[in-house]
Amino acid sequence: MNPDQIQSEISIIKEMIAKSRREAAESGHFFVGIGVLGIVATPLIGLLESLHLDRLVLPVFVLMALISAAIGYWTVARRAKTERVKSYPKSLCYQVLFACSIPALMIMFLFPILRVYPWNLVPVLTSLIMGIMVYSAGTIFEIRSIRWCGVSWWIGAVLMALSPGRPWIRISIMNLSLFIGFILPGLILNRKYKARKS
Amino acid sequence: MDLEKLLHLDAVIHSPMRLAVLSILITVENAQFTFLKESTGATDGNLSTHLAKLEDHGFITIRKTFAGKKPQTLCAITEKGRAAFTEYLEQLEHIVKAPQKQGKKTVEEKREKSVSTFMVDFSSDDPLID
Repeated sequence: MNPDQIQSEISIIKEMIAKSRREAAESGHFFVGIGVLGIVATPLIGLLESLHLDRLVLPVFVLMALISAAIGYWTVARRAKTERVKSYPKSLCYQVLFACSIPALMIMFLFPILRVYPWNLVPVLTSLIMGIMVYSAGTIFEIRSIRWCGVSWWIGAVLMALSPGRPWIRISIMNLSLFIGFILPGLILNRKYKARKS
Repeated sequence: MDLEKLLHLDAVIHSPMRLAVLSILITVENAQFTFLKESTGATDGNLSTHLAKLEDHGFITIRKTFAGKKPQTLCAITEKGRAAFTEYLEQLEHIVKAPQKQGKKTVEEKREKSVSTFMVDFSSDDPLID
């Protein structure tokens, strides 16, 4: 085997690895979708509470969860079936998203309904789970800035815990967390996705 | 050494098409036939032949499924294939490094030789040196 042949084999390996990485890039649509939904729904819940329409809060929560599931299905599950390449980071990320969404649902619905803790603790505890979700995604995709977005969720949780009885401040913090912790990582992933595809 | 290493290069992998297929499959959980075809630029028949050879040697698995009504052929690398590919890369690395090592050795040998020559000269009974 002469040096030219070796060089040619190395170029083949490099080119194919680059092609499969390009194909397996994550679009970030899931994060943007959930983030936008949260930013719309959170003030709505706050408004319902301030208008003393508490009985409507749970249905809005349920609707939000259903829309989130639909977003998850369209952006993750359905696409995974038709994707030409299934990569390890993506599969791992989807598993983490699923593993985090189950406890998030328990925190948002099951435990408050069972009166394990009051409803006002829901955003604080949910933020902790969201932080784990986003931080893990950042680690899996090896993007440090996304890890910091995950950290922003935990900072948000502390700030929300420190501001009880001030719903609009908590809503503002939640919306900021949703933007930094969901929409921003989604946009970062999408930028990388577009750069790889082009 | 080089000849020995060369003789050990896996003949199944040592083909541009099969090397390309394994290079893709090593980085992913599985890949569709259409993606492999597009990436390698092969024809259906040609790619099928190479995939069959890799499957016969236990390097990959080929699974036929359906995405809705659309048939799909999914290819994935096996543990055996992964090990063979890793070994192949190691051997390539050896081959690439071998001339470099040889080159280094020659330079070092030359340097040692020149130093020893200098030492001999220096320790010789030169009347000018006290």
